Amino acid sequence: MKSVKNVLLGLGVVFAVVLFDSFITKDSGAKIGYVRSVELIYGYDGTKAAQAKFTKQKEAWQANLDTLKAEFNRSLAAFNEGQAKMSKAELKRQRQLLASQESQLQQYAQAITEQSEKQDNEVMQSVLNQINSFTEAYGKAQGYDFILGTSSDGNVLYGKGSLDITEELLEALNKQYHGQ
Amino acid sequence: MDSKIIRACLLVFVSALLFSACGSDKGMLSWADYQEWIHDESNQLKKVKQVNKINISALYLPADYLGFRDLLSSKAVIDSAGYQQAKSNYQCGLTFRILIEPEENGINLLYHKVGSEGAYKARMNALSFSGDQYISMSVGSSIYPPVLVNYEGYNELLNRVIFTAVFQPKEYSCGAFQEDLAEVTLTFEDPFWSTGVNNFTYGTSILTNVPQINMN
Repeated sequence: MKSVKNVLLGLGVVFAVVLFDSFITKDSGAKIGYVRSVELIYGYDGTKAAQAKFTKQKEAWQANLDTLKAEFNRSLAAFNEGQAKMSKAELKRQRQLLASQESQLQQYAQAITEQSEKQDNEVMQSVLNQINSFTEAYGKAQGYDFILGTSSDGNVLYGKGSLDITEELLEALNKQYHGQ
Repeated sequence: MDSKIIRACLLVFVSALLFSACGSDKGMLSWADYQEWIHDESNQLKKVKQVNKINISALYLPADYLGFRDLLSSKAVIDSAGYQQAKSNYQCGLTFRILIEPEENGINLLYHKVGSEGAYKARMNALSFSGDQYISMSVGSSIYPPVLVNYEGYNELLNRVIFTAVFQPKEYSCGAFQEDLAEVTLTFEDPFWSTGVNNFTYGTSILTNVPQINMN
């Protein structure tokens, strides 16, 4: 029983060595490049355009919010100024109005925060989809077996400078973005 | 000696003229060949992008093509006058077809990322009536919305969505662009399928230098 086990183990080792050898032989000529992912993403004109548009949208939302805040502050100031002359019923009514106005303001602020996060994610996802799809097509067209992405959390620790294709990929990506 | 040089110069000049004339004239094509010609990507009227396993293509439809197609479907007599008349109906606009289709089955364009009936209705509404919100044309620093967008509907069998958009930028006047204008860009800003902003740039000479249709 033990000898059968040893034979099987031996066979397994031989099989593994052959497999490893064939893998190394086959892939020793693999064409590999790497890109600095952050530079690629933020150098991409599609990212810049999307961010500029998103910033504009956020500024419009913020302007609406500022208007609502200013209106609320005016109402509050008017209430503080005039409350001494108000009847009990009027005081109650004005307080309710202010509470409602404040609540609407908070709801709007909450809604634009959520909408902003959602839109930010959607926009970035679209941009990343474009970059990933283009990188895949570029890799195939240029005969790459692997294109690796370096990132700040370090999944590629070292790469020869000559394998860094960030600039050429970015140039091709930007050309494609501009429709050429 | 001098006359020989002048003759040689003249010969070169005439040859250059003939060569340039041949280069700019795309000639006449039969209707069948014309349809093939406009779909051939090497002629640069059709441009395709692939993002996130979805193909987005833009195709410029020349006035010749649109006019002749109308003429054929009208069952009128096909003659030169009728052709010119039909063509003139389209000559003052730039017409593009935008086609969206997944690279492989699995993504249904109508239901992709739709989470509720309300979202589905909103999508149908946006597809049908708000094309000008996500299709535009850039000419120099100006951005033009389309003067007409036709959502041709969802083709369930082929799983594709098609829009036809017509533009009338002020730099284009019924068949001719402003002389100093080199290119125009058609933009499809994907509202639903996460493919982002898709730009398709066309050289103005490509758009104006198309073949004619041979009616024989």
